[in-house]
Amino acid sequence: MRKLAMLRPGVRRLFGLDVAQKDVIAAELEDELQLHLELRTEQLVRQGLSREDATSQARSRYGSIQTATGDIHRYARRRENTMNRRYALEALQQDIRYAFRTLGRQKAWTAIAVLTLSVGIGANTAVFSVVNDLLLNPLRYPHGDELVLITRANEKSGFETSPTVKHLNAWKSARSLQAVEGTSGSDIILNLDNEPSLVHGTQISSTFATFTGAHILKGRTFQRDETGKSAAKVAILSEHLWQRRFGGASDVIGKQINLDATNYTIVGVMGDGVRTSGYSRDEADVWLPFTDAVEFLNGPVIARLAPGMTPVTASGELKTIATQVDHDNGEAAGTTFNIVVRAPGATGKTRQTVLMLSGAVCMLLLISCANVAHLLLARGAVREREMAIRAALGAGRARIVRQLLTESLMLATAGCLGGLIIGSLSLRLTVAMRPPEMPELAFVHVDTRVLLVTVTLSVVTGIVFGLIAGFQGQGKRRFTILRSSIASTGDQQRSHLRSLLVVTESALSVVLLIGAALLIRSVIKIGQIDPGFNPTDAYAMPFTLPSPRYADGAARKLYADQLLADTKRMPDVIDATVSTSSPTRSGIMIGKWLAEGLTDNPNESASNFTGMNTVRPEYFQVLRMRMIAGSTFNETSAARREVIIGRALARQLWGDQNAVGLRFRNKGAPARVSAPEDWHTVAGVVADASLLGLLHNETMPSIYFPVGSKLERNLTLIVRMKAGAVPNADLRRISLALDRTMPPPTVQRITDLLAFTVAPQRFIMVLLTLFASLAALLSAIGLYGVISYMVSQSTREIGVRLALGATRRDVVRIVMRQGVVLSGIGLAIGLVASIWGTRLLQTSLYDITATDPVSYAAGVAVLFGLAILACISPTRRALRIDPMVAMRSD
Amino acid sequence: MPPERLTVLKGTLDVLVLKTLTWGPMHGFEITTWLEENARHGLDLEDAALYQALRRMEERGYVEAEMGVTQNNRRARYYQLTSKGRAHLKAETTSWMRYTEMVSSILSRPIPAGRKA
Repeated sequence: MRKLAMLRPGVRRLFGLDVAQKDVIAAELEDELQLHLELRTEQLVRQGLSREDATSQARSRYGSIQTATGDIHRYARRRENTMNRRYALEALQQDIRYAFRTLGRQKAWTAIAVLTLSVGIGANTAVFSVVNDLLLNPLRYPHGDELVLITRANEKSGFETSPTVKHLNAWKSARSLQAVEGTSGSDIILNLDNEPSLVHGTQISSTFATFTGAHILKGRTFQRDETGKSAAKVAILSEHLWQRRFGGASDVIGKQINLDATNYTIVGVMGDGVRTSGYSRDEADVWLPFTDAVEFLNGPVIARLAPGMTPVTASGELKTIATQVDHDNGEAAGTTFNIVVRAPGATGKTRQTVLMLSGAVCMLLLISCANVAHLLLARGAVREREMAIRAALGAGRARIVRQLLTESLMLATAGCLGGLIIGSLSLRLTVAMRPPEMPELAFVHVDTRVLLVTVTLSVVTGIVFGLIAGFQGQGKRRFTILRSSIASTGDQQRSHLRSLLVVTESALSVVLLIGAALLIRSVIKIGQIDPGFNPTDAYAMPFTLPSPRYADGAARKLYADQLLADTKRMPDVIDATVSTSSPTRSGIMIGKWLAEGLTDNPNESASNFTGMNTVRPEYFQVLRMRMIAGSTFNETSAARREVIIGRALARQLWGDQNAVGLRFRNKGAPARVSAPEDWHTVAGVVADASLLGLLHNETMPSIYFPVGSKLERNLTLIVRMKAGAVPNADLRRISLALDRTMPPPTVQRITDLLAFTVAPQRFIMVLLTLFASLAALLSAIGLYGVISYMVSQSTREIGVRLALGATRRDVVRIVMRQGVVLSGIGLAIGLVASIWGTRLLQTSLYDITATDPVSYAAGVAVLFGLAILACISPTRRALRIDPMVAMRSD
Repeated sequence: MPPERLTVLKGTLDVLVLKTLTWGPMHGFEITTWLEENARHGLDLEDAALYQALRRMEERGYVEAEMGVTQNNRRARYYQLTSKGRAHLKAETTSWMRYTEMVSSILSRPIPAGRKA
């Protein structure tokens, strides 16, 4: 017996000759058994039987084979499956190795493609993670979709405040709510190892931990009887406090901790990362049980709606309950409060900003996908020949498709990995560099759902365009491709597609650039705002004088005077003063004012807020605030109930009249002419200052009260230094010298404080500028690709023209025209889109309209400039064309 | 009249076929013929069982099959040993030898005197 020269199994498979299916298996088996039968018959014949006998005997021995055939079939089929699986795996390995080689041969191309994808994916992941965090489930409590925030809103003014503890307790029995929580927080002094420091303490109920899903790392949470009327002196440490100040010791439960001069027993440790809805947004350092002495909550009440309840129905019931509580407590019947119930999540301005950023980054993703598409198409052109050859050699269509798919997927995988790296790095950077005014950014991290979506999008792009590119040359035109040396047939379609992509990219980039320009101008304008005082080289040091040592107003005054005296003796100090607050951290009063003799004020400001500060006479001079009329305080000012008001308030009350000496009162207060305590007398008018922040000074009324014989607990020391000098070390020394038990103070530069108030604007501006730059860059690259391709395709044509006498300028014109036309169309579309789209930016802009022509011009100019730049290199290449070579070349 | 044939014991067909194949690749009928010729006391082999065994061993990877052509130019399915099959054969042979030696040693013990056979 001999065998046919067998082809190696691998070769057979490559040529698709080994495709075995059920029918083939069955046929093979039948042949085999048939052969057996024949051979057996012949053997019996040789042994002497007649043919008939031989056949029948053979058949009878054969009989049982029929029943066994089923079994045999099964074995055969199973074997085929195993083989197929192995075959598929081998093929996949082949594809991957081949894809690696092809991609590796064009390192530059691959690098650009992967980078483009990574940037798109990374930026998107980062921004959408932030969106998710800030807007969708910012609190991250369990049952997030049932959570609501509850505040009280003044019916007339709409101004929202947090409910009080009495409301909270009353709402616990509301039918519309499953659970209700509120927190109250304050700064307290922790005395550890005789070292005082300021920590943030938050009061919580016994159900807080389960409600928020907080992890209790050690010990337990509070029990019901530890909160309320006689709150036990127990405390729960936060994880970071436990790590930092107690070294993460495992025996910390049961130890004592000294807070505000009282000893508390530690009963547990709570994990970090618990977010509260409190206004202060500081992460709690230590958790304390709710005492009934607390009246005010420091934030909205958080609750879970009962099943079937909506915010509207809940609001109604809660309002009824709250009104009853107010009535029982004898609150002023005048003002009615609505109860506002809404889902947690940044609202209003922040929401709009975040949405706008999401839109921007989506555009970036689109551009990066478009660029990847570009690259794939460009490569498709080059590989058309390769594909044609493979097809001619017998590679099935499916095989080629699979190869292309593998390449695209590998590219997408690399892009995803890169994107993940870029995304998480960006988020870490965001967290590290976040403006202090946006503390909620501290918790952002890569969200898996977001990552999944962006990855899917990019992968789909890669696959779609990879296939389009690969298929360009398929079909009957195969032979034409192999034979021809001129531009292949898929080109027409491809260049239309690529032009479309360039136009889209340009349009999107223009929108982003204009947006960025608007924001940049806005930030510049903000920087030019006059804060009303001179913040340079001025420092603020806020401090709290704790009772019991400073329970007496006189004791506090003594301390303040001594501190001031010591400060003035410090080197490099020009001037110093003590006041209740410093600019940007000013206190606020709620109220409206009436001039004497009037019952109504036509110029009344819309808002209820008045900035206020209690200051010593030298305050205005230290801060270099301009005194417009009158003069600063003297020793009798307090007794005579004199105040100094800002110009805005003076204008409100008396127009341009000189306000010095005139009297005014609080609108809600009685107006008895003979009772001096109802009135304030104006001692001076000072220029308006940015009391709350750079963007807040416009028409907010401000009142400065003179320091009386008593002084408050919370004070600020303001120091003006010589240029460049820093007072931190000296101030620390003085503070410790005066009172060892007080925690060391923080010293802030007032310039920084001002900058913080506009930090969100700056942050957004930086982000958008970054996106716009990336987008513009990518568009330019895309345009560069298209133009240089066009040049290489038109080499012959240009050569002919040159030979026929075209000047260099003509060549430049030909090349540039393509680029200009494409960008131009994109620009036009982008401009229209901008006019419509920048409306979203309006709330973030200061003193700039969304249709500011300068910004528009800037955006257009930048893109146009980049477009021209992108065309330079291809143009130079076109100019270098030697007509003789061009006409001869293929 | 051919001598009385021995039926193949369950589980031993595989190893017999494997051993047969050590003489080189064969197709189904060749294996049957070889076994019939070389079995000392004759072998009653069911054809169905043989092909079942062959397919089973193919699935397990002990043999592999390829289409070939016989001397008479007929298409036939040839089976050959794989290295896995060789290893299996070796292991099975060893354990079979030991088993049969153990059985033989017990069965060939003389009957103790004084007892009926």
